[in-house]
Amino acid sequence: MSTTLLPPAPAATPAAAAPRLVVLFVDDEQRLL
Amino acid sequence: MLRPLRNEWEVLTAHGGEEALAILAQRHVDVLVSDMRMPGMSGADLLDRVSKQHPGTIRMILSGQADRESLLRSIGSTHRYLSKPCDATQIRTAIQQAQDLRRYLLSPGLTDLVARVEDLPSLPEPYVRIQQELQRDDPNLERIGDIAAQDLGLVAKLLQLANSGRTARYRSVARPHEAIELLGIDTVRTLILAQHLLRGTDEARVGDLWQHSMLCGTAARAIARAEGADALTADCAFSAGVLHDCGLLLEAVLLPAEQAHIVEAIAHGTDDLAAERAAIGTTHQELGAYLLGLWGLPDPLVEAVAHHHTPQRSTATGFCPLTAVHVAASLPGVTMRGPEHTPMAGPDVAWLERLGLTTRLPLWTEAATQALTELAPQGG
Repeated sequence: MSTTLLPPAPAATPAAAAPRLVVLFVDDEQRLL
Repeated sequence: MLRPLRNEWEVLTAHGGEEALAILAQRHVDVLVSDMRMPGMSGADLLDRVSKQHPGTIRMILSGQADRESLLRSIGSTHRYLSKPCDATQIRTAIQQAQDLRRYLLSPGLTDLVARVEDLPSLPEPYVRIQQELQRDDPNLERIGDIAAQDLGLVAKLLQLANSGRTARYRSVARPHEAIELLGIDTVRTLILAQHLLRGTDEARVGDLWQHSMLCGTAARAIARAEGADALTADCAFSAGVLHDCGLLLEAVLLPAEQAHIVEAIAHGTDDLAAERAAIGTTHQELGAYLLGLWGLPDPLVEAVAHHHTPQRSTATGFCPLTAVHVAASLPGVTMRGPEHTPMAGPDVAWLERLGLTTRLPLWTEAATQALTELAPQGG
């Protein structure tokens, strides 16, 4: 399985901020990225 | 193209349906955006499975013009359709709108009311059976016609609509499957929902309510077409127009005592939305949108119902079914007149101004007026 979990972006918000939205993109050709 | 979004969200990717389901089994996902055409499991099949296994995940599908048949099959499991090509800004806006709509529909007044009301109507059986037929490998119009034919009231409405206005110029339609072929599956499903929701309302009012629904749906679709919207958006505008006041029907059936108070307050000059908030803690816009969301109808339709009186509360950034329904519902020939409703004074010009669409109003009005002229009277 070749699941790609992109590394988290550098923290731009304080640690106490709301959890970030988790978005899953499904695309066989990975054209979205 | 999604790189800019990684700063805002935790972005996961999968190459296909099986891989996506494996991720979903392991961890919480707020939003799933899938391509429609993929080898193996299609996007429509994936969303169908996710809707059953992970109903809390917001589901969106990216599709091209050629995917219309698959799109019809995926209604009920898809919250939002995104047309290709689609850039990062459009995806960000769609996800933002989906979140805003859910926050809006989770307002305390509405959730309190829903908790109190025990019998929200379930999806009508013919709708579910047509959905099942569409999900077969070989969906068949004759069989869909047979399903519709078991409901004589529905057959009457289908034939009436198929033989009215523009469609009647070419030939006379006598059989349900011919009417479905002419009107389109989407229209038929909307009529099934509208008729189902009208059951149980005061018989003396059914004719007026049905006519108001048909006028608004027809005008909203004409406006979407005049704006050059794609067929999916135009169909969605029709459905939303037909169903936009379904919250009033729910109030009549589920909350008759409260609706009597609302009618009395309106008769004494209170604005209808204010009267509803005072009596039931929410409005027919929110109540109707909540039910349609529960039934799995697409987000743009639910949004149009949720904000048709108060579009400025939506986060829409351009023309969408809400624009069409709001303008259609405020046309003098369409706006609802009844004891439970204050007629709309006209479209919210300040909102249209913000969207940069004010100059389109004359064109929309002309197109809607023309479409309404072509529509034969739709009696109850």
